[in-house]
Amino acid sequence: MIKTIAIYEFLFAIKRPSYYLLTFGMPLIALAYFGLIMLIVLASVPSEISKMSKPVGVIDHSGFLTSAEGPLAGAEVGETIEMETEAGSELDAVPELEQLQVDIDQFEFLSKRKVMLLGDLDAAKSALENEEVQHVTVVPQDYLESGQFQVFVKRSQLLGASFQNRWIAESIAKQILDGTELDGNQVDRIRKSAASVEHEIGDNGEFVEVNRLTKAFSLGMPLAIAGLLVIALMMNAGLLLASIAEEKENKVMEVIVSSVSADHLLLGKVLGIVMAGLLQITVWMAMVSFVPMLSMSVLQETFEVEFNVVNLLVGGVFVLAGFVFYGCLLAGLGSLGSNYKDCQQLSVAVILCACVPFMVPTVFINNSNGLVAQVLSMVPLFSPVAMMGRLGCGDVPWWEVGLSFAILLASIYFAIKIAAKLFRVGTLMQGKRPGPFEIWKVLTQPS
Amino acid sequence: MKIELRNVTKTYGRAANLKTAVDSVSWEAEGGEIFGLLGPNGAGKTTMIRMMLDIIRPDQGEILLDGHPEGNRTIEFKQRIGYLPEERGLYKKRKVLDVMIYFAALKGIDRSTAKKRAFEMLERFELTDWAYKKIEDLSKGMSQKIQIATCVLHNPDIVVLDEPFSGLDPVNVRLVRETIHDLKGKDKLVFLSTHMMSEVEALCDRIFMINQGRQVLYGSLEEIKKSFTEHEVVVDHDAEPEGLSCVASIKTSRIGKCVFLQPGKTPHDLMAEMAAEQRAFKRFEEASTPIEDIFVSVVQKDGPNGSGSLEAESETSKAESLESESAEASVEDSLVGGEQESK
Repeated sequence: MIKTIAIYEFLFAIKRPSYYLLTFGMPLIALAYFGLIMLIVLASVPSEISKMSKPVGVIDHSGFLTSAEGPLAGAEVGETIEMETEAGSELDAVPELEQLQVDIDQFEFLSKRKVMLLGDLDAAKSALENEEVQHVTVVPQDYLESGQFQVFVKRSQLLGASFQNRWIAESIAKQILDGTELDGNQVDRIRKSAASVEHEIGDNGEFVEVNRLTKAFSLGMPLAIAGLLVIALMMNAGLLLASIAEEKENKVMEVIVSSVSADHLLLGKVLGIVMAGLLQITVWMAMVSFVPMLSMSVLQETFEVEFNVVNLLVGGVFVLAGFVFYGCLLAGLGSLGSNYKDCQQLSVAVILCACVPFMVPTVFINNSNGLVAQVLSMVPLFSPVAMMGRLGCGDVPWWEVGLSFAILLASIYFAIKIAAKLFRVGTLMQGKRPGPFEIWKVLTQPS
Repeated sequence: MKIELRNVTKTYGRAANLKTAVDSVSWEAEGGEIFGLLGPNGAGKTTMIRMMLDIIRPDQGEILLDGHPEGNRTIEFKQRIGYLPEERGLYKKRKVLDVMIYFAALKGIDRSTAKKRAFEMLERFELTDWAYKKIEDLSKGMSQKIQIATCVLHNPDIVVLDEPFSGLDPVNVRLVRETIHDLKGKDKLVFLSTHMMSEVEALCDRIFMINQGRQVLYGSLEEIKKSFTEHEVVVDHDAEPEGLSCVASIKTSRIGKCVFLQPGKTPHDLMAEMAAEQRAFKRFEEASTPIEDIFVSVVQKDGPNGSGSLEAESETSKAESLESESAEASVEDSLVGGEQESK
């Protein structure tokens, strides 16, 4: 009987025009949305490149830059000089990102810095007005005492130009240090902050270098899948509630509950909608599959990112069980409403519960085996998403995974029983909600 | 199949809001009969039906199916019943045939059999052309017929029909009546809950009447009608039954003379005496109180502070209740109707 109801619900759900619209329209809308953003970004790239490719104006009152050891030694006023940027001098990013260096002419400004030497502020003003320079930096005579530059721009922007002047300070520091008896390495150690290479104890008990990107993606993927669960839940909760509301509004529920047990009806409905939801997710993934496939191949080729397939599969099972669990709760609570609007209001609480682990991602990132993470992954209201988070963040003891899953399965069983009872009292209430006493009476009644 | 309710009680609310919807009712019914479930609006009929069908559970008492307690809680039982609730409808956006097949599937009928039977039922109810139309395209009467057809599509052993005649024209009322008769002929147990008393008279073998949750009438329709009949014979205005030894009293009304017989005397005795005394008469009719009048009198008597079952009440109190003006008037009207029909 469950099968009959599930198939009927599934077929009815997928025959709805709104289902087609959501299933096929959603990826197209998403693609169109991201496409539009990309288009806007790409349209603005040439002007940004042109802007970034312009030289930086420098007025050197201190004499450090134009001295014989300075980077602008021998430069004439008004002359533009190309300088090689020093690797690692300005980018304070993850070392792996340095692999992203792009050898394209348009991005030459990333590897070469253009500097125009200017004589005074009048020349600076003229150069700014003619848009010959990005900005003008004045190194004052008392730089050693004040430690300050003056920056002149045509129009001030949110991101100031000061971050682009570190090379001047570093260049001056280098000159000063070069004047001492320190050797090259000592000078570099003073100038540059130390880079750390992190190691952790690996699976075989030995220290292995930490690959942060792998770590980031191993957390990101399960959370993305959990995110899909929540999205699918929100999308299909509407279908489930509409199905219940339709029966209440069309007054067919009484006939149905006289034909099948409330448990079977509820489970059949939930499974039917879950199937429709999974089909929907499959279609979405198939339609936009080139995006993850492309990003996977780029990630794996460029960064040698490793994905833990077992964890992903275990997470997938949690997601599926979570879908059924939340579905039962939605159906039970939804049936207490007298119409679709009521049903929706009552179901918000369930969707919020599913979202709770997303609100505290640091719990999993900082200590995936900490008390809070453990508790979240054991409470069935949060465990489908929380366990995905924990699996992505680190090694979860398998007994905890097993226990969490057992609790989730037991919760599904009780959720079906309780929801069926709520269903029984809720579905027969025409035009009014059952009161707390009615609900309690039904819940405490033996099956 | 036999179903029995024993001292079944159902309450709603609590404390000051406690309402006893069904108060310790007991009855039994079995296959091959049409069992009328009667009562005014809000009397507890629907609650009783829902408990019988295990849609809701009683607070006290038990429901037996073929002698088995809680036999109505099995899926086998659910598949053997056909239910047409009072608050009813169909999936408006779905096609007639799809809906009929789905409901049959819920009763364990496979798709091909369900489709075949659906077309048989549609043909019987003259709705074959509507098989592939959406329910929302049907008129109220058509929708009603589809619901009745769906209710009996899976050949149930117990059929519960709550107001099956509402919204139907006389032609379709007759069609539904024939369907109910057919079910009885096939040894099915048919529960009929209706406020159309003419249909109760025409169809029911036995009745159970509930008022304010309490049992007020239960038994064979004929016996109940007889027990509520205070005058025994109706003769025409020109007839002369006065002064005969069989006669206790005579009341003249619009429809003729209502002759109340002496205790122990039968209509046959009166006819024999009238013949012997050569008293003229054009019409001689054994009186029978219409069920509608019984319904009205019982509800009026039981009222908000009624005393419960009339089965235990004395003949005197029954006679007193029928002495009331309203009861008399409605008896007269009903008899007029009967007379017209006989013509």
